[in-house]
Amino acid sequence: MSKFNRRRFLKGTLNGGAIAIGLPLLDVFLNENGTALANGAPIPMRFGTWSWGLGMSESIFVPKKTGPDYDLPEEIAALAPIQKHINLYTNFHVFKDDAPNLCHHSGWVVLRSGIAPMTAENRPGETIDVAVARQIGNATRFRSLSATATGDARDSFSYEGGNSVNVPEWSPLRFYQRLFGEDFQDPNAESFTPDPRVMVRKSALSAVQDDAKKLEKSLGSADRARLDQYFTGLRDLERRFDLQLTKPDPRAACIVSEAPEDLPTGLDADLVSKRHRMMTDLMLMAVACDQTRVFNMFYASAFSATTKPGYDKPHHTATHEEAVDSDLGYQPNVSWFTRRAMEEWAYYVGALADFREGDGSLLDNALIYCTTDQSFAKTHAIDGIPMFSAGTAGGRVRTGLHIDGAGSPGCRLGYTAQRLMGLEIESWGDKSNTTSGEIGEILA
Amino acid sequence: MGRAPLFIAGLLTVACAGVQADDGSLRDGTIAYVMTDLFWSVYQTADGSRECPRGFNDGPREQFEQLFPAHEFLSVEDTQLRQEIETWHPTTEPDGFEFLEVEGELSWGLNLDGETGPNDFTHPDGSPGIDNEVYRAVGCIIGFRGPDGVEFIFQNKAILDRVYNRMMIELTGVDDLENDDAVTLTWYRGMDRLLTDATGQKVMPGGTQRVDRRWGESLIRRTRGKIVDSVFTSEPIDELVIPWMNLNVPSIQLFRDARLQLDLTGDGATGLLAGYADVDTWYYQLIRNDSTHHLSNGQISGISLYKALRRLADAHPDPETGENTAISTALDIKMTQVYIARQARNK
Repeated sequence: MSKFNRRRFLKGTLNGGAIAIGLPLLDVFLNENGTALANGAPIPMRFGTWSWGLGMSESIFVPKKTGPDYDLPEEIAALAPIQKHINLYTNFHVFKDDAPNLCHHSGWVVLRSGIAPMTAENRPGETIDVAVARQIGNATRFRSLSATATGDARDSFSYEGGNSVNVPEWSPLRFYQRLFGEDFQDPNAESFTPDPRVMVRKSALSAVQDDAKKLEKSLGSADRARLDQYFTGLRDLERRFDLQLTKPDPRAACIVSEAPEDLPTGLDADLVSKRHRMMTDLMLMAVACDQTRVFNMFYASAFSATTKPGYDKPHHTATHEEAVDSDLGYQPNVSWFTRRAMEEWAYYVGALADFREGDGSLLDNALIYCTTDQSFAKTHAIDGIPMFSAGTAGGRVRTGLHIDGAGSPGCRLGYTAQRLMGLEIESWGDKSNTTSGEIGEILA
Repeated sequence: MGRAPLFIAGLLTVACAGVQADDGSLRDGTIAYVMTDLFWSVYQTADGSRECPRGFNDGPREQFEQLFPAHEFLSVEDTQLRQEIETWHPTTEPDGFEFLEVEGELSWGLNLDGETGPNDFTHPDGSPGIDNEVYRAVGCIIGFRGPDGVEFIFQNKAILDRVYNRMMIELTGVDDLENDDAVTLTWYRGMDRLLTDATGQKVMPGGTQRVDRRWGESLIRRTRGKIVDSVFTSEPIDELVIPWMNLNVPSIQLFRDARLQLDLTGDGATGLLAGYADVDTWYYQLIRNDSTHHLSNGQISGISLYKALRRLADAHPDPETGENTAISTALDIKMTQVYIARQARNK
């Protein structure tokens, strides 16, 4: 048995500040299979989300066969290289009960929060990534990270509460600078010097916190509630400062690349694809460097305005204006956009699967939750809304399956995902979306 | 007696409603229904070839391309804004585009004027004299056609989703839901969300609605009617105003000589709302609710459609100009049985 563990630090002081310097991630820290650390602690579990806009063309999206080795209809043919890494969920419903069916809003909000929104501005509850991040995201610099391929900072399916949307990174260069700029602590660096600026910030924050607590005592309940969210942010900042003053565990997979080029704004499908792949690569590097364990990637918005070269209508407009081709049985241009989305989903999953960590891949220790906003966007349908998952969550999830939900709540996938991430919840969702039924077919 | 016992009784009634026989919801000669579906009544064949043999009308995008082939060299004021201004301030002057009216002879609707004339349609059941000039105007615009025209989908969806649009009728003096020659109909505006199944799409009978006596007081209408073989037919209502918000924009429709023809059951009512729609109100309800983006989704040129509506208007001439101000129409309507909760006038 190894006498080392991953918490073995070289301790000392520097400039009056206590420091702890970790040792590199040596093979001796891993178990014989390279899937866990030598003391039995698993390689960190990760949770990701991925989203695309405007659903599917059911007749060419939903496989005829369920279970393993399912067929790949033409709209999802691009998933062939990653089929073994994913599960496809169809015939799951989003229930709105007495809430209105809010165009391109109800579907994604229910699948991310479990609650049907009452207005287009309403974001009830919190999103699944926030709940999971509270469980598994406390040991990293960023509790969660969000990025969008649209170049639009408004595009996010992640929120803490109604007025607190987690703004995504929208520029590859800015994202790189945030991740690997001056505040980045290279986990594989031989030496570690606490950043005096962080120490000053932490001291300043402590002073602010003390003052804020005094202020809180003098406020009424409404104002105290208002301040609570603010304090939550401050506590997260404090946690991040603490982490930055501690030598991070080494990460063999963490190899920081050169800063990327920045991209022009725009929603041409090729440009969105390029931006998506750059953001994906940066996000995976952030995960490999243990900067975060919860990450959201946003390929296209619910009102996706992605454009197709030579076609005059952007994606969302096309869903409503393009007629269903009577011979084909679907909207050909709309399907083109969906196929592009599936190509990007395949890239994303493939990138995770190809990213080596230990003797496996990042995907081996991750679960990716993938949703959209509609089933048939032309009519704003939310019944039979398709979903995907990717990854085995450390061997706990079987993959390569097509699951027919038989009209049960789509929230079952979110519930299953949260249980897999260690959340001790008895159920998830509101009203008819409430479920305590996991999707047992996928559990290993 | 206080209100609490009545409230409890009401809850029990609602809970049991789903298992009652048809006439179970007829209480003390009263039954009420809440509106759940409302479509402009468009008779259509599978490929449209019978009613629209020359195809369908162009919308804003198609007209724009024809009007401004070199628009990239023109100002926004001279192109898009010009069309927007024309949309919001339409005229009856020709716009240079041929408007494709319905050319078929069949239409849903009612014989509103009791006459059979050369401009009337024939009902698919063979009844002559059907007055439905709105259909003649919109029947060859794809946005008004089912199953996925933009108006077909969204205007109806708004009826279900928006409390603003909550309209209901109450029949009183009903001895028998199959035959009764003297029934009173009262239109109310409700103020509650609908009782639905989990999908939110299927409205369940037995829900409860309060009457909106604050903002809805002026919308209350009363008329007489009769039931023959479970079909209720009302006498005309001089002026019926229906709130019809769509895409978050409050608006109304105004019908003159409005009447209902409904197949009744204890769980619901299905049929037609027909009358003469005020042309300007009809048009502004459309363009207030639908931006050019939405109109484009259904290839609806507001500019061209307004001219057609004015040209085809067939009732209520303006006393000064003599031009008709209203146009015959019919709407497919579905209603679900509901209990109306009485309460003091809300303030």
